Amino acid sequence: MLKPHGTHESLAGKLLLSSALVAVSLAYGWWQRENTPRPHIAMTAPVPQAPAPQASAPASTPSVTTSVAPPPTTATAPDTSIATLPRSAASVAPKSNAVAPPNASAAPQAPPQQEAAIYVSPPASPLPTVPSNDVSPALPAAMGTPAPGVVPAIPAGTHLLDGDFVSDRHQLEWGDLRVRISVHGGLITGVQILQYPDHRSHSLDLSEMAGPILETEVIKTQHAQVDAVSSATDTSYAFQDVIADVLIKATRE
Amino acid sequence: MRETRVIMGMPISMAVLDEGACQHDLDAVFAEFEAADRQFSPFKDDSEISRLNRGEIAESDLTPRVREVFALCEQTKQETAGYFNIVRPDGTIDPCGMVKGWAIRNAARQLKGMGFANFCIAAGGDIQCHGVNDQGKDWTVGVRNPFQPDEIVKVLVPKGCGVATSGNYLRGDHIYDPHTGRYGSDDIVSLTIIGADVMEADRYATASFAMGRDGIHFIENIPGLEGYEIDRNGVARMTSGLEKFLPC
Repeated sequence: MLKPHGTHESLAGKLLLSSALVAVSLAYGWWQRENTPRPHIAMTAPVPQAPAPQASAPASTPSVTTSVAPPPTTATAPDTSIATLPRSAASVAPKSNAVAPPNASAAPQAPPQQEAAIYVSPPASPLPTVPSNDVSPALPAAMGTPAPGVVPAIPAGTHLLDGDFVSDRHQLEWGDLRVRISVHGGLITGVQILQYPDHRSHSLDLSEMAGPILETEVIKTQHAQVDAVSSATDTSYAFQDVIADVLIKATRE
Repeated sequence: MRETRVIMGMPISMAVLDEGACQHDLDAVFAEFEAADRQFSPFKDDSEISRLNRGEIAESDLTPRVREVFALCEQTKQETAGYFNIVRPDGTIDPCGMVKGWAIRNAARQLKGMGFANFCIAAGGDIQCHGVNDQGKDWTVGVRNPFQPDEIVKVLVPKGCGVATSGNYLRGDHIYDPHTGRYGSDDIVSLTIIGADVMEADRYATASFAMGRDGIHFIENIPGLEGYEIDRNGVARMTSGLEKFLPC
């Protein structure tokens, strides 16, 4: 993992540094948005790659709704680099809200084909194989200073450790974001988006918001007697039904 | 009279409560299900569908009943932006998604034609009731809990309308966990539709379930259809007119 890549000179390095800062800023903006109470529901989004084991998935907020969600997770190991970020002034939150859908979609929508243009170094391994329990330092921690907003926050002259650094999995509005940066000679030589919010689900959610907001409820067992039960049949329960019914029939004959 | 038989690979339960209903009547209705199975089943080598798929008969040879079902399938495909499709990836045709609802609707019509007014047909999770139950009250239908098959989570009073559910309860690792919302892409595990009759409910349940999270909005926008969707977090969404079918 910590295999340094070749040194790359000034212009490309600066561009990549800018890219990284934008990525961090957007991530923070999203995080702010994620933590802003919203009346709407159903912001879950599928992740485009192999999901992490449940136990290790950071869940600083319940990924379902704010208003009708099941009990929130206990989140014993939340994303610490994010958790230590200052919950900044109210002035930041509205701003990140204003950034919301159109701008926020820009980075994650960068399709994989474009990644080659972003990377200075090709990925060391195929994206999906990056282990989810990777213990590389989180991006903001590696930079030494939490990014407090959309403005670049790394003081000039901050020393970056050489190596590759993988961010924690950041839960965003429409999915998770995870990036890896490569640092060599104190310069960022590569930024790789390992995982990004699924923009397809994103657009679905946008269309959802455009339509009427439907009533929701958390399902609850009903104890009423009913005359019949409606269910899907393309499941193994159908087999149980068949057996149960045949047994009932068998008791009558 | 109540009886359950397994036809088309599913239990078909019929309750006909009117005075005078006899075994002969039920037999006649079950016989129609069996005829539909013989004609349409892709699992029976000598069915019309199997012979069509093997190329032994041409489309021009199809019987009027099969043509009727195919026309309904084509109509549904167009009404649902292609989400309802009986053509499989290998090019064969499997109309099961239409035949079940069609057969139940036919059975209900048959019973009405026999003069019965109080009956309920439940076949493979699709339901068509008429009149009142043995308590003299409206028939009630429960929506199965997709995470707990012996429970129901919603009670509906369809009042003569049909009810059908499409679902995907068991797909690999999607164990119910209300704490994590991001696991794969099948957010919706169950979608129950109420339609003018069970065939309407069934064909739209199949198609709108395939639309994922958009399905319930699709149903919301179609007059005469109502829906109750359950996602993998155990959160349900319902169309605005569903309350018409909820118990008082």
